[in-house]
Amino acid sequence: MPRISRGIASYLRKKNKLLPLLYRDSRIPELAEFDLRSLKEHVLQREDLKNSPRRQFIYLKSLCERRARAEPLEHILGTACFYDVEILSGRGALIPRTETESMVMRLCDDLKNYYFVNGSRRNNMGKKFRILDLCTGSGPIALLIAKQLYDLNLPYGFQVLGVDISEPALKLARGSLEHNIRSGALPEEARRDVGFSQGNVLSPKESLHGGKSDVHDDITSFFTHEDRTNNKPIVDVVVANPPYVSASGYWEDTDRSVRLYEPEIALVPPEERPKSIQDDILREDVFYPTIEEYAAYFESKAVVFETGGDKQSNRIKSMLENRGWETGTWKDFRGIHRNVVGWRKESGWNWLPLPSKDGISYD
Amino acid sequence: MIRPPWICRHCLSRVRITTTSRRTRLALAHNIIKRQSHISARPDEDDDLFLADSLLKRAKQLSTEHDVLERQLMEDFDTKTAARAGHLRPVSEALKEYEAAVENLKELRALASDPESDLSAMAVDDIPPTIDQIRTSSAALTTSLVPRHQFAALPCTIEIRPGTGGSEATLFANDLYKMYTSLLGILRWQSSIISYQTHNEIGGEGCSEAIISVSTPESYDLLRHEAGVHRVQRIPATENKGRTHTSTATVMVLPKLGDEDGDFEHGTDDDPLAQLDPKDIKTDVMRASGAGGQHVNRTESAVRMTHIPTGIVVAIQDSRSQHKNRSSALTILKAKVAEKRRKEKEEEALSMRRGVVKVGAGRSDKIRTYNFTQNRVTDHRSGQSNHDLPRLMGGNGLMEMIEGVQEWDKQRSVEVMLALQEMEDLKKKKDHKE
Repeated sequence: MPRISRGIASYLRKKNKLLPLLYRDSRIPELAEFDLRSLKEHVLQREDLKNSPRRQFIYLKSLCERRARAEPLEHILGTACFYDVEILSGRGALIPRTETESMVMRLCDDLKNYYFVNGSRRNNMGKKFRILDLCTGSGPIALLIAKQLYDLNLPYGFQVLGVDISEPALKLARGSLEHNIRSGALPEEARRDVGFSQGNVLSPKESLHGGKSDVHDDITSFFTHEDRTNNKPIVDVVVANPPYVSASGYWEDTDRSVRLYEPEIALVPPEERPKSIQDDILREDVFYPTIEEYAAYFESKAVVFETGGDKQSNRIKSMLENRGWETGTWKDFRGIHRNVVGWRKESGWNWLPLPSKDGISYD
Repeated sequence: MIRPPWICRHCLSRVRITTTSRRTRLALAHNIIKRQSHISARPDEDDDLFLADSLLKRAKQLSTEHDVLERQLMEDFDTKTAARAGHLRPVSEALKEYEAAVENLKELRALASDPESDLSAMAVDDIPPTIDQIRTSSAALTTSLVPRHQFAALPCTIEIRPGTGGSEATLFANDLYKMYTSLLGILRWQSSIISYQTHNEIGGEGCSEAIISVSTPESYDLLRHEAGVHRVQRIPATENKGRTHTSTATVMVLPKLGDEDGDFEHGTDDDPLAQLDPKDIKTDVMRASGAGGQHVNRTESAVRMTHIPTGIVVAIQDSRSQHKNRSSALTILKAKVAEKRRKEKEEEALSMRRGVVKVGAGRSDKIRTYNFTQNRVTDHRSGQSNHDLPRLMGGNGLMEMIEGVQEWDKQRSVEVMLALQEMEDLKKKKDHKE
């Protein structure tokens, strides 16, 4: 890592003597100042240090030293803001990214403006609106969708299920759910409507009850345990932000802070691929066809994926087209094709690729 | 010379008589009428007594719309309709009053002209008060016809930045910031501080930027009069030779568009002026290179948005969520662009009649002077002065000053509206001839 030039160091030190520490990772003075402000706020919230400025400073300095070792700010603060929900953050899961945030907000805005526009649509044929979030990690997608759908006040309600392989990540997800209920961002009913379940999406275990697999069984039982039919449920949308970084990309493109403090399992798909995946599919793409199979099995109307960029988006798009989906892409704020959306022709979800009405869209 | 019996001395003293040609005499008389002088009524001369036909026609249209809306409200209550009807009510009431007064005058004149009637003497006596009544009601009608500022119903943001004058200007900006926060406290308006950047100087605490967001609806209507350059004259704490310095601070007041309440009739997403083409917006985050997504850590939440055609830049680092910052940056950008477009539109309309109506203070002119050595605050638009500066800096008495400016602004908009109306009439006449 290059050393910090003297000029910048003294410039920062003049402003605040902790700033050079914070500058080490981000290398942008404004970001260092922003970090300092957030950390200060965090320290001031600690009740036990309230009466001792000296101890407050020592604590603040220790936090800055952690930040100097490239530890993400979210890990130090313990939470990450994901639009209007807070997600607990720790080593067990990926910190939610702003691109994912935009994807969820766009989906929710579109649902509000194009889908739930009149009474009969809002009734959703008298059924709960069901969303499946595969590879949920610490649960940001599931929780933000829940928050946005509660605001829509659907007459028959909705259900969101997040599935992930990692137990530590799910611990954070369940913690985040409780955290948001406590802070009032989500209502008490969220305990019933939002669920997280452990399962290996890519190569699930065999089913104990003669179903397709244990993950399919978990999904079925979550969506049907209320009406006790145990028939195969219909899931309206499947949303996923699976690991999509290639093995070489992991070493070349990722930030040092990401490699040091965030789990590799959340970024790079495993080397061992399930037998059902053809050999010509790249390693970074293996999750998408698998998730598509879930969507097909549960007769979803639409799928929404986050991808790594233009090339990957094109590959996923043609994969979906081959499997009979209508497709489109969404750009992120940098103009990169970051999301691939697919919908069934007969479902009437052809509004998905339209530019969003009140959110920010960049297409 | 102007005929003496019907102009009071106070008004006459304002007219400097230098020439006696007929044209200037007319212009002077016109000038006096514009200043709302105390002209007593002459029973038989009433050319400028009645309102212009075009104005009357518009008033009638609006009043009919008001009646239709009222009927709709009887059947089915709707907040949007109710709000629109509420805005039209003063027009309808003023029109009724005006029509009644005009009708009254006609009858009185008929009576007065009839020499055989016993009532003619009484009728002659009654004519002047009726004419005064017409004057007041027509003035009220003109005022009520002035279209409400299109963002008047919105909440707003106040931005304070130091202008010329170096560190003294930052000190003054901080004083202004304190003044507005205490004003908001006195008014009990909900507000939150979006950005407050201190700039510590020898003479006390300075402020290099302060943005206050006021979430009370209708607050823009009042606070928009505060936008402009505020000038301070005092011996700064940093000065060691006792000289008086003049510095400035800029206050910007912008309507908050696209609020979640959504029942505003103007300025929200439906407002054509606030529509932005996404292609024209450039969004920068502090770290733009690299792949993005899962590859990079997302600590950078600060956002800078540029509207390329107008060059307006908005930077937001309010929340820890970048998307949230982006959407609030977009809201502010929309407001700024809409404000600029509205200004341009207004300027355009104004410049066509520049000869008749003086153009109001633009953003470049100073609007108010705070003179600490003389313990005086003067508003340059309404001409009002306040001689208790410390109290005013504490937010007391500021309200009266703003109301004075509001009154002045109303007068000005009446002039603008009349000019516009005149222009439209001329245009119509031309079209008619062709």
